[in-house]
Amino acid sequence: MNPLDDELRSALKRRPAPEGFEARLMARIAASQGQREEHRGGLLRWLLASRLAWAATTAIACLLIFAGVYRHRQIQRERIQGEIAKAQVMKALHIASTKLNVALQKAHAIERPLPET
Amino acid sequence: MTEQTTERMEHALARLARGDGSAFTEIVREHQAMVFSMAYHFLHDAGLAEETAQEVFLRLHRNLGDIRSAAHLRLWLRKVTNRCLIDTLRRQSARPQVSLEDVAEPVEPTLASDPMLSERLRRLVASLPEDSRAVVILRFQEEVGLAEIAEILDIPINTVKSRLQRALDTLRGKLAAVMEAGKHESLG
Repeated sequence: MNPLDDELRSALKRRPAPEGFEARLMARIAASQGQREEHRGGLLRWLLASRLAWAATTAIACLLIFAGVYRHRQIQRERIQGEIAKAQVMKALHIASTKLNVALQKAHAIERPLPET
Repeated sequence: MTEQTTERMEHALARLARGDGSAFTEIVREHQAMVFSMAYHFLHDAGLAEETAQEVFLRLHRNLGDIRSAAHLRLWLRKVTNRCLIDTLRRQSARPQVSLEDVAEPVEPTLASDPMLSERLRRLVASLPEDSRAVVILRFQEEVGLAEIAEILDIPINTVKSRLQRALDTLRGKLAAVMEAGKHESLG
């Protein structure tokens, strides 16, 4: 065995940890756990607050979508009613024009002298 | 680690898994001397060594779920201690340091095993380059085999051998120089 190896083994023997090491460690662990819980609490509060904010935003968005859809349907309904009214007017005009033509033809027939027999 | 200690640690780990927090104290009690000594021999500063050792156990507390067995726990602690020591050295490198070369060596005429020589050797070990230092501490403090040192430091076994050889040559050279200076002092 090399004498230097023996000297190194002797010099580098394990030594006990300082007095109170364990207590100080446990205190640090407790403190770090407390910090983590505090952080987790903060995160929870933030999540809760953001959840409320999200709920309010969602409600407003739903309301806006609902109003938009309602307005769109109302415009569509008005357009269809307008189309129907237009078609009715066109039909009435067509009937009136047909009747006017018949009346004109009859009037012409009356005005025209009868051929002599 | 004796068979009895291994069994006790396996039992403590099983208790921890069941949520028994007192088992952690038992684990700390069993390994604090190993972790603290590794740190002390690496840094040669009791305050910094305690700070580093506490950091190691804090990390252990956060990662208890990863520990599979008593042997794995020991390996994990040695690996993490080494990493924490390197982190501590990096932080310390920003602060002004006094080189061991600049510190006057006390006169020491004999190489017999004594407290002065042990202290000098500890100081010389602490002055080795950090990669060789870790190898020497694991080899001579912890009596770890070369293969396990390679696993702990995540380096090839041949690198472990060469670092160990280089470290021992350096230590032998420095000790011889000190002895020579001591002889001259006592003759003069």
